[in-house]
Amino acid sequence: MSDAALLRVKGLFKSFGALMAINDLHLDVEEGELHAVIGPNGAGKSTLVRQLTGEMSADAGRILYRGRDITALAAAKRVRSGIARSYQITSIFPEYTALENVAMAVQTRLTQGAAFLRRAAGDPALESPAGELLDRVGLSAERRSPAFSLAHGQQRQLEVAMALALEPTLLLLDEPMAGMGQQESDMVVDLLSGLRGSMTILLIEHDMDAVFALADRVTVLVYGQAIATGSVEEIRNDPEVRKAYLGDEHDAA
Amino acid sequence: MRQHSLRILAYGLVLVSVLFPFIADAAESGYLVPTASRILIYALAAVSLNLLVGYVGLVSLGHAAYLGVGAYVVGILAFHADAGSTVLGIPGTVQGLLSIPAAVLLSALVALVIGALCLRTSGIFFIMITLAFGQMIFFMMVSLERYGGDDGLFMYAGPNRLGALDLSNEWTFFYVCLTLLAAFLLLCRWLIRSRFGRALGAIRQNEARMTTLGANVYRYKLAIFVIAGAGAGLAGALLANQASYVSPDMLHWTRSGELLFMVILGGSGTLVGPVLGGASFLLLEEYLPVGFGAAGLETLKEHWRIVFGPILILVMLFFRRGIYGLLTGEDRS
Repeated sequence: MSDAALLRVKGLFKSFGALMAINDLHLDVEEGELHAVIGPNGAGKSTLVRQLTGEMSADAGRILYRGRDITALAAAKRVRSGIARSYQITSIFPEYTALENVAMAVQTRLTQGAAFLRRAAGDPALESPAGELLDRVGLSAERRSPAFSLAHGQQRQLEVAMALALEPTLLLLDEPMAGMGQQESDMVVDLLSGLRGSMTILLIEHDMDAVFALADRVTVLVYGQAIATGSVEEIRNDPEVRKAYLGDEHDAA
Repeated sequence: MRQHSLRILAYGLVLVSVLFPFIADAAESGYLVPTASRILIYALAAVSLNLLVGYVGLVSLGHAAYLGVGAYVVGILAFHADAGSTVLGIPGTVQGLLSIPAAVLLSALVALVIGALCLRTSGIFFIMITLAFGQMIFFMMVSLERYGGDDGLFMYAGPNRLGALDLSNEWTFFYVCLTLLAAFLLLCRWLIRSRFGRALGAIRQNEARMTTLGANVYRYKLAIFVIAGAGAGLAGALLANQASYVSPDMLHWTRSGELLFMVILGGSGTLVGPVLGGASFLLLEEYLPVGFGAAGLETLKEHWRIVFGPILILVMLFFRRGIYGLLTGEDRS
């Protein structure tokens, strides 16, 4: 519990009927770290992300961002205060080109007042940062392709570019490598390690190799509770974690 | 190929429209000019509705309300000009330079209030609540006994003057309608291509994502709802001037349904689609019975809607982009 915590979750609850998806969750994410959240299916990882972005309300508990209580803040306002996310299930604008998708994200960050009436297509203020981001995530060749026509992995890369276009302080990545091939995965791992230090990242991920390669700290979520938080080394050696989670994975592998 | 056929279509439409009164006159069919004006007015209303239906995916079933509000503003101002009285302290007028902007402004205001409430909902609820508000305005007009109630309101002084222009002249009126429709189409084109328009398209494709990109989706929708209401109000003001008569009929929900038909028939989400849809709809409505009559099919002449309905259904089933898609071949994508 250091004072540098950018995001602090205190006693968060969320239930769906009888199912406790998030059950008295405590979590601290410190400024500048890459914090991974791992856990078996149904541990409440995606629910947590949705609560952090404001897409889903909290039954109880508080979410503090930069020391400010944002538990009741609307989703769009949280984005403007610097919290951006990418989706586990691809969420893009299918009819727009890859460039337009990212330009759309740049636009929501930049546009105010009369600028709304400026012509969108070909506007360098939107398209040059968007183009650079596509280069960074490895989609340079797909600028003009409609997003629906991209391969699944490419759509995931596009997702990441859109989240980065918001220039967030806190980036929430919900299983960014899900459905990607090895090559694309490696690219995202490279991208994320390149981002380290420039922004705080909360990474939800199944791919243990990626998590252990990237994370400064790891939190293990089981049945909506954080059962352990620590460095990669600490988590690897935690007997409870091994029992609850890693043991199964390793046996299976 | 597509670009090519589009351009031919656009030039063709512009040419026919601009020359229409001369063509009709040469063919000794000058009586068609008012019909053409009516088509232009409904096209304007359909284009405004298409801003919601086609570009944002907001299916409003209460759009005739703004048409009616626009028409009643012109009608009521003319009524008070005639009676030498005032309404809410405002004297009446038959000067279109005052009454038409007033009609646009008031329908925009009504759209702002109705939109602010309706846009809290989405999907089927949005359709139902716009329908409910539309009918509410309809019954409000019916209950205005002073302005004719059920029977509607005659503008005894005839159509407005527009500056020095006399709108009772059929040719003048036609060209005023054509100019306003063209201006509104250009406005829409500009809006659609702007950052605002791109955001609207994004909302249609994936509203949840727009929210998580930090956009206040509600405000975008409300802005376009008001612009669409203002466009319909303009059409209503013209409609009142054409007939020198306004009635609650203009606001009935079936009228909203017809506007929706025009949009989908012509091609929703395309700029000129609703113009084509409006024209086809009104022409079919007018000439189907005439055609059946000429062919000696008396039963069909009387019950022409039996044929009209299936035609609409077939076009909607097989041409996703309506007549526009049919003409440009864009449909197959």
